[in-house]
Amino acid sequence: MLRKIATSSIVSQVLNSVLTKAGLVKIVLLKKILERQLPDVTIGYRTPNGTRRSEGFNGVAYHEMSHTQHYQQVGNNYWTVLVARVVDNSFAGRGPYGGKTDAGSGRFAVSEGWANYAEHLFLQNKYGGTISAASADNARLQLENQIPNDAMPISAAGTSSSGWFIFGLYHDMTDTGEPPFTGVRDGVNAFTPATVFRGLQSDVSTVRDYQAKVRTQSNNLQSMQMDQLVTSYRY
Amino acid sequence: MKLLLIRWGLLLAGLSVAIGGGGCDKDKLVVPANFILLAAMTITPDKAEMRVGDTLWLDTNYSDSLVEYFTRKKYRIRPQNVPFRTGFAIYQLPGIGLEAVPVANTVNAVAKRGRISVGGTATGEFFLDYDGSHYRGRFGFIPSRPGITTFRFLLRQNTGSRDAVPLDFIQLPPDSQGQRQRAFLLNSYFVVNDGKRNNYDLYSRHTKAFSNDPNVQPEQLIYEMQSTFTVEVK
Repeated sequence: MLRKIATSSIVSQVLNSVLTKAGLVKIVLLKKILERQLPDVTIGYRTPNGTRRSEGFNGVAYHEMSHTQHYQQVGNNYWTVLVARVVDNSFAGRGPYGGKTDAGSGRFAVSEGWANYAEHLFLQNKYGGTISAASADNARLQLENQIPNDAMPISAAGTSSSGWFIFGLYHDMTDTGEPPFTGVRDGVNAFTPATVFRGLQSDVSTVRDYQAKVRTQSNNLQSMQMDQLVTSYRY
Repeated sequence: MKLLLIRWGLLLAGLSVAIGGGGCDKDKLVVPANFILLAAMTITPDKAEMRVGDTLWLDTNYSDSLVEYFTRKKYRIRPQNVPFRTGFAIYQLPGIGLEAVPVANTVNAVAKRGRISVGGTATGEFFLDYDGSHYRGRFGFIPSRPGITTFRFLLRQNTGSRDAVPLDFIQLPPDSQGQRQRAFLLNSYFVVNDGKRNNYDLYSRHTKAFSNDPNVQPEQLIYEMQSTFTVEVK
């Protein structure tokens, strides 16, 4: 999304206009050339022991393309703030996402939650009933067994997952039942991946914003159960 | 303008050589040795039929010296080296060409040793006891719904990485060309009842099986043919 933000944001266009009026056309041209070298999405395929297998590569691709889908829905301003938070956290030595209590964490909880949810949903759909069923089963385990955890944004290896990104919450909105050990209270099952995604609008910057948006969009569908669900995810 | 473009192109080319090319040469010094680790479990009774309410017992009692699939050598892997997590998926098979139905939340589970958790639509986890040399557990699965039911067991490295995990605590000799080898854990799998008494024929009669397809990877075969147990619940 970087290239698109750089070439289409209002800030960029204003800057071009100011520089042009100041007679600095060459600088504008240089700026445009540099902007075109920025990637929209990068997906690595090399690993220390060779290259990713298709299941691994596809997982990353689904994840990153889900971010682009979210970006298309929320627009430049939302994403510029998200990128700025990544930069700010990284410079402050807090890792790209910072902690759950740091400023802007809600935006990461919903956006990275969405990308992780979509990654595992699509892995499950692609590889279920195929020779790569292990990838599908593992993806399902990650979604069904997320343990909310304030101490880390995500830990999604092994057969369960934890963290404050809300990928498990999105899944819980669509499924029935919940493993007791997660501590999650899941009485929600009336949503679909499409209605989950519809809630991710440009004015949704926190998990509670997301809950309120979904409530409005769905005419209070299972709103009490949604409140229990979000609360049990420690928001 | 043209000069500017050429300069910019040279800069990009230089950067890509510095970043990508440098990494390539460095990687060639070490040859990856990919590991697939296997751990045994037994399921009893191993008959192809059972009644609703009967119990299927899963037992594990395997040494932490795990067998490596390609070389058949054993390597000691302790939890501090690679923490493993263990889980399962339970589906019913309505027939070839039809989508498997997740039924984990219709199966009751008990733990006689270790811990187990069912409750997800398709999946659950179990937790083995580790006593310093062996991973042990005994769990009962009690199906409540008739049908061709297949249990798939997962042994996953819990390292926080999507990719193969370096096993740098294992020192390997140089390969046949004298290059240094570095061990990587690609994947790990359970082998149910020695990979034999798991009713694979029943499985393959009720869903698309891939064991005879071309270009199937060994680990994919392990999961389908050896990590899976199928039974008809009546």
